Amino acid sequence: MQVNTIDHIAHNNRLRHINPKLKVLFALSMLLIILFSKSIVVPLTVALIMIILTVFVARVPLRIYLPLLSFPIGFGILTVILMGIIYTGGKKLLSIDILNFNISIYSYGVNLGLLVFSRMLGGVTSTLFLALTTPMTELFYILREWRIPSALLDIAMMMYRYIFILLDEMIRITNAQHTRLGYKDLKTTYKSLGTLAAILFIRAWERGERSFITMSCRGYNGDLKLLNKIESPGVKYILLIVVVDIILLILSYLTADFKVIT
Amino acid sequence: MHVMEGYLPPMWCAIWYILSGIVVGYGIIKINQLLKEMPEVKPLLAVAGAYMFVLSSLKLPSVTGSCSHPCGNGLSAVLFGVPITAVLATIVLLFQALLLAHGGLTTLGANIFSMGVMGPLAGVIVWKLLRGKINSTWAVMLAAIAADWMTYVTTSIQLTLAFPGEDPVKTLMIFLSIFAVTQVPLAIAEGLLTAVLWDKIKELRPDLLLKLGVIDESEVPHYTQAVETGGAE
Repeated sequence: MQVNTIDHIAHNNRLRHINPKLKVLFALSMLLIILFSKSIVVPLTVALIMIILTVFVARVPLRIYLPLLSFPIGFGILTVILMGIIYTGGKKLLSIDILNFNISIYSYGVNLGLLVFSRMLGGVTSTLFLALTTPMTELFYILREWRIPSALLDIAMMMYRYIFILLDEMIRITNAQHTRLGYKDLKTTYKSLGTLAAILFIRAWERGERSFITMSCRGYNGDLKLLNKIESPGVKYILLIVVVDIILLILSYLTADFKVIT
Repeated sequence: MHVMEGYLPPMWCAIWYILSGIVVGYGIIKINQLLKEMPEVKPLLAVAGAYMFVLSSLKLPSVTGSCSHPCGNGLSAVLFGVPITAVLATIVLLFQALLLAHGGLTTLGANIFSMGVMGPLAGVIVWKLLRGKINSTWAVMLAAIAADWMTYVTTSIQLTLAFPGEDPVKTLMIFLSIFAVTQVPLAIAEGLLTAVLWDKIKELRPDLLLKLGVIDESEVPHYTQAVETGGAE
């Protein structure tokens, strides 16, 4: 299960015990820099930094990391081709005639596509860095310190727990259906899937009602209380991140006019 | 499909964040009001959200042999209304970004707007129009189709607005033909699944649907009326 693997890695990697606030600060500042960059240089640099950090420092296994990364790369190549066709302007790079349709690729579109591609790559590697090195529970504590409304956060925390319970339940029901000749053709597949979804809904609902009863037994009145706290990171580490950010910002300013195809 | 991390320029990231922020904020106010009357909504909404997440991990076969996954936003909109669905969609999308690497943090606002606001809105409108006129299973099916399809239309519009090109109408047409047209069979597949699911819940636990006030008692005679079995009193 893919959910289990990312969650599992987040609890077992070499960067697990680094202060989560630092990791969040680092990943978010990188995301913002990528967002405002105007050429492909800075996003690709960030992507490189993030890949090195995730693969060599945090030691995330490649067999988990590469499939996650292949999705944005495939989508990015499609985007470059599509944007080259849609957005006209600049030099005509390539022109093909298919059944009286003239399809041409223009340099303006390709440049735009490459920029979006590099931004996607940088963004996805930054998010993956955060997702693969920081357990969800630590993120909840940080979100709480950011004064996210407690209704939203409490629901999110309980939801995180129930996702894994429901996934287990789903796998059990699917196995049971397979042994009873479910999913054997398209019609039974729909019938099995519908039954699975309905039973899951009912089970989920019953679980919700039951956990309300258990929570009431322990003095729940509409508010969840949490006691843990996350320490603030050392100033020198924050300074280090700020220095990296400033270097990248300067790089981004210097390379603003850089284009792959002039 | 979600808009990927880093796809949108900063201005549009901010605009979609603000627009969906308004709806989500309203949803949170509504949940807080509900909480005062009945504290049990918190765990119930949590399992409902987890259910939405798990539902979106189901692989759905469709006509072309390709697979898609259901969004579940139509069902949620019918059961809980648009504002609360927007709140649930926010959390589900955050988890999808962090646990499955689908979507992203910078494009979260845009994804909430398409999956949590516009899609459910279309679903609720269809549901309200058809409610009481036809069997609720059919109404739910059409609402799910509308919600799923509207999600993709909104995504196409968002992509066009981000990069309009020289002729925005032409660009919109291209994106619509890529996303909205190919999505029609997938939307119908989700509608079918939702219909089967709804029928099953109606058969097994109609009291849940009655409690949420989404179906009428006349629709589930096997539950509301005593069956004459002819046994001893």
